[in-house]
Amino acid sequence: MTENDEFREIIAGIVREEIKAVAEEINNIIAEVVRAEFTPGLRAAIRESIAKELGCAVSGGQAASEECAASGEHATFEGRRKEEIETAVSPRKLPPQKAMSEEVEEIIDAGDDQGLYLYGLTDTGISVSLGKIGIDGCEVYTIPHEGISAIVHNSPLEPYKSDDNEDVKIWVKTHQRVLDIATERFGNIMPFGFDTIILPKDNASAKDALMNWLSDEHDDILKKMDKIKGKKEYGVQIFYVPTAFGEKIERESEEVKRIKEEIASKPPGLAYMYKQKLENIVKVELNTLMDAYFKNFYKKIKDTSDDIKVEKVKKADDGMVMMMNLSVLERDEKALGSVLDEIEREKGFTVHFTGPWQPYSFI
Amino acid sequence: MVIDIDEDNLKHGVLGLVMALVEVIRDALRIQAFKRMESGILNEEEMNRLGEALMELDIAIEEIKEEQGISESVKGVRDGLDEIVDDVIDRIVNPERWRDEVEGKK
Repeated sequence: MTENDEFREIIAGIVREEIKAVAEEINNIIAEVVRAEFTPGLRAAIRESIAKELGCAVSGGQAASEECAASGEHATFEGRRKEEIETAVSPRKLPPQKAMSEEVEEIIDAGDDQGLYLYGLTDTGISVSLGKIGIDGCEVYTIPHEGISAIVHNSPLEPYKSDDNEDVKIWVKTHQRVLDIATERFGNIMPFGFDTIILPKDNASAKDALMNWLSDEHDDILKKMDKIKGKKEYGVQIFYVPTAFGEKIERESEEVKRIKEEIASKPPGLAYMYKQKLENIVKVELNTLMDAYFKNFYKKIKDTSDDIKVEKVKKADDGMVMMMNLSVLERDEKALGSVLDEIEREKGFTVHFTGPWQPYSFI
Repeated sequence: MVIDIDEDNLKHGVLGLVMALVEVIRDALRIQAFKRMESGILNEEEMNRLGEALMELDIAIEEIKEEQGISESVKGVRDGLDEIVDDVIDRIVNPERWRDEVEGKK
């Protein structure tokens, strides 16, 4: 009994110490993260509900419902309902940020006219219609300004949003197709992400807002266009099977062998502790090994490509681990392909490859 | 950032969460025990006792998870926690990505 109590006391002490140490170490980090993660979303949500309340409450009664219905009519675009759209303070909204800040203002100031849905920019000044190839069959056309043309369609003021994933998939695919067609036609395209909408601002129409923005960013846009000229983006993900490498390390490491021998002669409690030690050693060696592989692969890919962005690795299935997730800017698909083949031939590694894409990650 | 707990089944949800926490504490205990072993302040007998206790804890946790059929929900909670921690670490080791994000939000 006393021994039990003693042991409980020790464990309680350890737990207290550990929790205290951890809490002290990461207190600041947690605070920062909470601030960074929640505040923007919270703010947007508050702003949205205020705007909603104001929008409908100001005129009151019958007039209000009429007004809401009217603006609902306005926002109903190709058969989509206002309720659907109204929830759309899209958290994943893509650049340009300009459009985003405008959008916030727009909610308060639900105004006239239409926005411009932006597919991308091209570095030729040309005014032309590409036909009704846009999202929901909208007519896609270009607006030239100072040697740059924006590829757009006239859109509702709210971003496209639906709970139905199929709808979204079709929209995104259409977005991609428009960019493909535009690339074929104009050559160099700077793509924008799905749901980039330019809105009217301060009495200026969406078109004026777009032109102002093109003027402001003119040099920057041309510089970026120059960088991506003639290049495509490819997604490269490299996976490995940790158990395969773990076994290899266990076979080859002298220290592992020694500990394994020791384990055989120990009582179960001690053997358990030694097993932990063993696992830790293998883990450390595996990390060192993967680090070396990472540097090796990265260099190989870097040497053949124009630019690389290291993206966050994601969880993988089937006992595999994603060690590398890259966006690669590349002009020569074959060169990249042969490097990746070489990596694929290394034992224990699998390479996933997607593309070519418009160079979304490099603008 | 949301920890995914099966809402349709409260038992799975709550028990899964509790067991996930127990596992996290177990892991912390194990790390501490290991540190103590490495530091050399424990004799063989003490190490053995510590190891046995931890081993029994492991077995108990596995048994409970199996009995209650909550292995999946525990894994779900732990994966959720892992993602949060991954996210935090990713921000710390890649400050430039964090900065981009913050600037993007302005």
